[in-house]
Amino acid sequence: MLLRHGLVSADSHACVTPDAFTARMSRQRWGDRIPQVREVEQDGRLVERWVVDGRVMSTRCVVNCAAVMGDPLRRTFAQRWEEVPRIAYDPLARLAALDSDGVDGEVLFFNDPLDSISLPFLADAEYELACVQAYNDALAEWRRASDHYIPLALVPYLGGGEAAAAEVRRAHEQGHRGVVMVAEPSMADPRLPHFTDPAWDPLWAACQELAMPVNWHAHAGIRLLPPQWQKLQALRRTAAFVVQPQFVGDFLLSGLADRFPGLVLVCAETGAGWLAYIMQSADRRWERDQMWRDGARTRPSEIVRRQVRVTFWYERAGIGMRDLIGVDNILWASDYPHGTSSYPRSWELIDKVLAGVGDAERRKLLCENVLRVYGVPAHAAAGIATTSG
Amino acid sequence: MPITIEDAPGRPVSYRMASVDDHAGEPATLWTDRLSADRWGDRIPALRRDSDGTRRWFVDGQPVPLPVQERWQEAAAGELSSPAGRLRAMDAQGVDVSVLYPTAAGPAGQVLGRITDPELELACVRAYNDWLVEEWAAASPRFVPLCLVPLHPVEAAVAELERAVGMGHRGLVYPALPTLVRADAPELTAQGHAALWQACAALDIPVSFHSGAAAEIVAPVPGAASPGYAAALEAINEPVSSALFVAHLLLAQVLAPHPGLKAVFGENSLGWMGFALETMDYLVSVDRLNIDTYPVMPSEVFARQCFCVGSYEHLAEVTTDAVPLRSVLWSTSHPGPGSTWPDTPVTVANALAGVAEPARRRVLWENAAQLYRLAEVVAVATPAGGG
Repeated sequence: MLLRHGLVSADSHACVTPDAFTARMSRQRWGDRIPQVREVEQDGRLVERWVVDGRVMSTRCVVNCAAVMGDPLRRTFAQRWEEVPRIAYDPLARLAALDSDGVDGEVLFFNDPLDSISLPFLADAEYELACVQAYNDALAEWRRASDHYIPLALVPYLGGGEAAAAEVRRAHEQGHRGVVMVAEPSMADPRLPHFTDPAWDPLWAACQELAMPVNWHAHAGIRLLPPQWQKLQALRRTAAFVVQPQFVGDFLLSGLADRFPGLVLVCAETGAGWLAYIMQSADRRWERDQMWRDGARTRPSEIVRRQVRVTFWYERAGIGMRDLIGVDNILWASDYPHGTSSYPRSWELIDKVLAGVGDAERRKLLCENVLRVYGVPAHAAAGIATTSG
Repeated sequence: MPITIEDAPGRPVSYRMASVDDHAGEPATLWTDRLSADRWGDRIPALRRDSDGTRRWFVDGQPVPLPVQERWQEAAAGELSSPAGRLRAMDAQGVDVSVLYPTAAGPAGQVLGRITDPELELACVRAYNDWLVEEWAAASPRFVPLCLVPLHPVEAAVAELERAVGMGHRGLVYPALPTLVRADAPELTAQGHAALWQACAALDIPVSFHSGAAAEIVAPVPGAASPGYAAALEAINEPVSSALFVAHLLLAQVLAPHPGLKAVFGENSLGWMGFALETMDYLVSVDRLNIDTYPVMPSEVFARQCFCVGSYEHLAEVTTDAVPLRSVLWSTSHPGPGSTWPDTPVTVANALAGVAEPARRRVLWENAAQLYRLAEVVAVATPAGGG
């Protein structure tokens, strides 16, 4: 990746096109179950929506790209595919838009029809795998279009640890550089083993061997919000941002991180400062209960520095705690093209949040860390003070 | 030199520490002693043998959830279960004043809140409030009692609050998620609870929303986990689960219309709060969907009205601009899963390493003294060498 600005987002959302699944899955085999954009009636008018396995996935829009809809209030959502700007779904048009915002590249999470990773595909193992592979193939096209994209693959759950590992290997071959997962599979589907169950070990072994970080994103597929609160938008969003902290303790104390010391966990779109609390509370419990005697060999805060990474864009708290969390472990993110994105004034927000942070640390937070975490080689354009990967 | 603490009112305390989140252990006969057996029979909260032979609390005929039960076992055991024993232990731990929450009744009063019969609920709540003042607060001004009120209707809650405050209670314990306690309880809103919040503000009574009262917002532990491992995850996750109801209180604007109302987030810890507040402010601002309806930003309401409670975290490392020192209280959390007993002095020394004396005094004593008006019940001596 050629760096012109020295800024790479660790959390952005690719928008796959309406043919992403229909062009890649057998109509004969899957029929109307194939994820597709279809015209549906909503509140008496015809709109277009993603439909997965017969379910309409959103009442709000066809694709969430509120930051690029030309509405500074971000209240406008695309109701038909033709309303979606090219700078959301066309990889090269999008790069030009990013460049105008001073952004060099992006780690790519999903967008509609997936709000919470691959959960809509959790019907039966064969259907799930077909959908996951179609998605991973579609997203791999972005990497082929430009090395400024760092795509993250989905993993199938229903086929077990070995099948998940096989898809990780296939996705890595295609250029994917990490996997996106639900924070707790057993909560997403009672058929699935717990996150730290050894049944998943083949998956962790593959991720470790290929240096593919495991990524949790926002609510990471977990709902802990009382349903009656869903109607309050700011609350629903905040609730999504505060779920992940509750799942990191198990990663640190279960012995999983010691079994796979090279397995990296990235907590995306969930802020950073809370990690200081998890480090101190987990350390305290580990010491108090002498948990090293029960398989948690390494001090939790050491595991965090070795294996856990977090993202930020609006938050000063996490930056203020960077000595504790580790300045190498915090990654800038833009959330493009979602409504909360820093686009198109990313550097304004950066200058506010990183006020008082020295140049060397800024470079780490803004691009060096993300390139290292995902193993992406990069070199700087003339005049850009950043290190090469 | 620290000044010796005496129990009599008017004698000086030494500024060492006000622990704002401790739990008295209700004796097994608290409710059976105080409620009419003729009228309520087996519905009275009491310890009974469960089907598997273990002794367990039953309230209104229903078994009390296990985590509450386990906490009570710890709180009601040994020397710390009596006021005299607790005072001796407080002396040994460097704790001057202890603010008391319930245990068997639930850390947020949610166990009694599940009683659907309003008369039985009120009788149980009154018995608890009477007991805490008669047995603990009357034993020493170093105990600060917090009362319970019935969840519904709000008129009954206000009436019991006024009665309890008249007896000497100095704060209110209330569940942050009343509809998860009882389906027919009113949603926690500024309007539905306006009379209660107005009464609290008028009486200068802070309301405490303690963590760990709703299993629905806490990540479940792995099925294969040992009890010890489950307790460890609970100790880490329950405090940060408070983020969900803190967000609800601030974003649904429950507190903002009552600027005189103070809220304490019991056993919630410190380190995640700055992140949570900045997240709320950012989401309110960037989406613009609701910004017109937020005349005061969530972080400003927090700074004006709210307090979070630390007990072991390293203060210098976790305080941020969004969490000013005036919003921080300290506690031993006895007997919660994160309790610092019996190592409070060394835990506090580590947690406050590098914190200058005025800031130290502020979080260990002054904030709590102001909030609970401790000067009215205990005289405060100037610490030796202090200023």
